[in-house]
Amino acid sequence: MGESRRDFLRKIAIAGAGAAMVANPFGQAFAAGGNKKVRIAVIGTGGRGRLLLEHLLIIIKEGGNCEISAICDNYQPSLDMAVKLCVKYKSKVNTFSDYRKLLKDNVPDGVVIATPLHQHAHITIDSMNAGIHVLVEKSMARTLDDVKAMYDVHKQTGSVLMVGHQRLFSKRYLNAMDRIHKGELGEIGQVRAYWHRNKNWRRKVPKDKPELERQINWRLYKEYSAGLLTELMSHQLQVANWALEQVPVSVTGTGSIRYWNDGREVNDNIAAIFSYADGTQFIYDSMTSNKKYGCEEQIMGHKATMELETNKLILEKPPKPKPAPGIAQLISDIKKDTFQSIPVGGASWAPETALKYNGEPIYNSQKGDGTKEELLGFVDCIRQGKNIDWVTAEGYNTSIWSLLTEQAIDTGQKLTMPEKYII
Amino acid sequence: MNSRLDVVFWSYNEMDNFVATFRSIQQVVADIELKLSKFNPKAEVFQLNINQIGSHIEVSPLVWDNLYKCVEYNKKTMGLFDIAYGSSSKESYQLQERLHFDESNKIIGYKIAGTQLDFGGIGKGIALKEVANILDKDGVENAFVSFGGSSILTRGRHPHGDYWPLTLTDEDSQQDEVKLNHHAVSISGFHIRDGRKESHVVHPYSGEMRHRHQMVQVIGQCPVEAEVLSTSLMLAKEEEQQEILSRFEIEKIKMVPL
Ligand SMILES: NC(=O)c1ccc[n+]([C@@H]2O[C@H](COP(=O)([O-])OP(=O)(O)OC[C@H]3O[C@@H](n4cnc5c(N)ncnc54)[C@H](O)[C@@H]3O)[C@@H](O)[C@H]2O)c1
Repeated sequence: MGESRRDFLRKIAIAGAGAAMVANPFGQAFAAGGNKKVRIAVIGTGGRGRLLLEHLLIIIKEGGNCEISAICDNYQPSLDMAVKLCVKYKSKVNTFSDYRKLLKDNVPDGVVIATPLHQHAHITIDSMNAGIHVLVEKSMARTLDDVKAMYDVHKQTGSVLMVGHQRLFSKRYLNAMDRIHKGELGEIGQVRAYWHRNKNWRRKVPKDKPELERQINWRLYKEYSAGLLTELMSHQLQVANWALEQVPVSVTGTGSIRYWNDGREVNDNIAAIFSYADGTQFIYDSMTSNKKYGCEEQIMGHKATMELETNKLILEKPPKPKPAPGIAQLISDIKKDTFQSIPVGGASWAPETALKYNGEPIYNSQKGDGTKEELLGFVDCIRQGKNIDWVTAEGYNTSIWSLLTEQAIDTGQKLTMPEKYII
Repeated sequence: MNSRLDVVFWSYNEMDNFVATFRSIQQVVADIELKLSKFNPKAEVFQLNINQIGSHIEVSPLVWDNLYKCVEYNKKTMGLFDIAYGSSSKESYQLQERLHFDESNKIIGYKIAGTQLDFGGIGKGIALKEVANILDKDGVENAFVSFGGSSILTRGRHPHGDYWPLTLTDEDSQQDEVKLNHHAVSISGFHIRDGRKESHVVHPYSGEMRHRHQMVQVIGQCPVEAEVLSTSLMLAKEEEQQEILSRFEIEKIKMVPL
């Protein structure tokens, strides 16, 4: 990485548009002390909420210094399933159907919010105003103004605000980013990412309760969700920004309802291009009627590519095969005036094989996608009373740009970030 | 050949230009690879493999000479050494029956449909023979050359002893040390990949990977013949072994039974 990028980053930092980032996101936070159990409540115990709850229950079972103070959902079947989960882990739990009551009566140290997108902002803001720390699922909110309002209240109250981009806490991604930022891939020219699935997003609605359609299938309606953009792309846009240590300067995009034309309002396939101030592009697409290519983020530098989802580093120049161990020993023996046998092994006869280089793994000891580490990080931030500002900024900028992408697609315009949203 | 080539030279003579010698070696090995590859579309062997039955391809002296030799080795090893082992033809043929050498035009064609040549079992030996020529030409006295650790050519001696000491290590046993000066070594056996043993010697007639040995190590003078022998002895039955060995000049052979 040349001087130019560093200078550029300094400029961005001065302009206040970029997040100042450090290699270790947790700073001192992970070395947390204090003996008091951190009390966490989970609000919204649907699919994601229950997964987060289960991670927390496992953390507790493993001796983590926290407890579930309460769970809350305004849809009884969701709440019942979450209670069952707590029973499975032999954990008694308080239940609420109204989060306001929970905030008032239960007063947890922190809340994990996993409600639908349009139900993030007010719950987050009410919690922070009550002096409670927040881990809110991505994306932050349904509107740009709500995203900004959440950030402002976080600043005013000093409550921890974390957005559920779990890759930020995955050791694989942390290792990759550290190496990317140190220049291992060379100058990054493009980042490409995609998320392709072949399945309907629509969930079954109880036959006797058709009125629940919009509530259960909130992802399909524009009032509640920006579809693929806030649900899937946001994760990968966050990765691109993180790798580039920048936020975009513009976005253009297009999308349509091509296959799942069933009354839904959000696009079932989209494509977007983000430009960054140094000329890097982030090219993104997502679809839901073909899964051949799956999910990937490709960080492409002039020396190497990283494919983060599948844990691959591919050098532009394949590395030379390793020397036979015996030869390395022979050379060292000669240098040391030693005379000893040269060990050789392996078989001579091998059918000719085409030279194949499929890259190498980036990092192997990360189990899971970072969600557990994200929760551990949140608990430690609460114990320390310390926010990790750049992690908050990552979530914030990603949410803003995901919603700007929606506008770009809807208007056909190339958009930049309005001044008032720059933090 | 897709293997690493390691070369160690030493000398007390400051005038020796090992860099130039190494460059020549690199060049010659790359050239052989380019001619004998079955994957590179520019290679003569690739072209032969895709050629129509009945039509012919003009080949370089290297390919011509070595194909000729392969026919001879195929006979001498009673069919066990066969660079056409991977052919798709149902019946088994001698290599000689598959190839048509047009002497006057130096062109070669296949006579049997489905014939496919693979120099994997001998390519390293061919390359080491060319390396030996370069070493002789450049007057290199002491060298240890290893192709993938299993095909070795030596000249002279180790700087701190009277010979190049070599020990074959395999998964199960440590073999005795052998003393090498002006020698060629070839080792055939199982490849260990991901902790599993993989056979690489294919029986030309049955197509099976039916080894009779865990490992065969051949020490001789000619790197090409060492390769041919180590490969075919992997498959040879007791009586065949004696017969084949009597037809080659070798110094030492070690066979580890299965
Ligand atoms: N980080 C990730 O990888 C990831 C994965 C999946 C979902 N998510 C996010 O998690 C959130 C929830 O997604 P989901 O798939 O679990 O949705 P879901 O529909 O399965 O669950 C949402 C739950 O919230 C409840 N709810 C709605 N309004 C509420 C309110 N005011 N108070 C209390 N409960 C309320 C609903 O009844 C439902 O049980 C979304 O923001 C989504 O983007 C993140």
